[in-house]
Amino acid sequence: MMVFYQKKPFFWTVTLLLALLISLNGLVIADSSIDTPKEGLYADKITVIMSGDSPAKAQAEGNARLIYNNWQIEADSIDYDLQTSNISIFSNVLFFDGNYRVEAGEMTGNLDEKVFTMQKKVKLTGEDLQLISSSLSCSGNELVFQGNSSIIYKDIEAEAKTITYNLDEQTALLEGNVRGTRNGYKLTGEKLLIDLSTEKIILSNKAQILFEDQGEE
Amino acid sequence: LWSKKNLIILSGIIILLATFVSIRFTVNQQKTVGVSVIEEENTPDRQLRDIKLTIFSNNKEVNWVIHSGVINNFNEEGYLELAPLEIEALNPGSQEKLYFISAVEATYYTSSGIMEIQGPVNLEKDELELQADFLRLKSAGSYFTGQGNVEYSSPSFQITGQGFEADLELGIISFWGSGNQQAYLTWE
Repeated sequence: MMVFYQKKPFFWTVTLLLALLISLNGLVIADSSIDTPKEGLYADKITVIMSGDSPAKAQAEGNARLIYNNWQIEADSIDYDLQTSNISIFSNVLFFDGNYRVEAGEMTGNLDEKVFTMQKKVKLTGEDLQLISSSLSCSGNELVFQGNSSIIYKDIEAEAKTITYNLDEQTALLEGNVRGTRNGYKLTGEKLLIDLSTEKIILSNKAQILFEDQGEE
Repeated sequence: LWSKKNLIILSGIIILLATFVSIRFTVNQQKTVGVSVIEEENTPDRQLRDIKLTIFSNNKEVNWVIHSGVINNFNEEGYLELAPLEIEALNPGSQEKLYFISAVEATYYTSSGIMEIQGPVNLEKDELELQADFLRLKSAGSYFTGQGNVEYSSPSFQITGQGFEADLELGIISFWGSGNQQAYLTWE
């Protein structure tokens, strides 16, 4: 390399300068094209009710989007009480938190307390995971799906009256008229725990079912 | 190594680089600055300079004290042109300052009491600040509308949009976006 540079030092200096210029321009263009949404409420129309010098309540209508912490919530309409942090979200609700996507017809709750209820055709989608129910209650790291609830995780399919999904422990507890299948096995009972991390299924009567590819318990 | 020819080429590259950088900054600055002046199309019936004008509202809720560099009075057409201007909105009884507006130019329609202000327009009310390219308000009322690069803020929140309507008496304000730019609210 040094040999080339010594032969034509000016040529290489100019070439390097031009390369630097092009790179800088590329960086500027790339930077300007990145649209990192900031935390807040976005919509086609936002109406605020003021209390003194601060907005007390905000109503976002039309392609509404709320970005809060690492959550993004989209819907046709979002009502947000800035004083209590209560939210009421209506129609075509989409909730993202980086790992999960939840669809629902309605969502209510409190942003600060991290307590939410979703209703009307609730569907949670994660990696290899799908949970469907009539309603979903979220409190901390526990999600409770109620009403015609079903879970699909890899080759496990099951349904129950209630499914409690623990985000920390990566477990799904199915309760009430549980029915399911896996690799031709049929499962029935009143209570059933699926450990998603080990893919083991544990029945309430302490019987266990081990699957061929999971090794020993 | 650095012959005269080479130095000239290198200087050319530096000039190109400087031009590129200056164009980028100029474009950014032009996006944020918009100044207009009154076009002298019509001849006013009367022109006044460095004027303080007080407009009393019919409902006795707000009086406007207007300071303007130039006021063109179009008496037959029924309007005044003002540029530049500052409006102090005062409570007629207590003389408390309700809000303050500064702008590049405005048209005040004497019969309707409507003021159309062009900007950039800046409205201040206590810690609240409203900026827009265009503002329309009525002297007797508390109803405002505005358009263009709207920003409404205080130390605790900020709302941006491309249009708004506000009823300061009710404390209800709506903002809307335009095209790909949505209305945006952020708070502390």
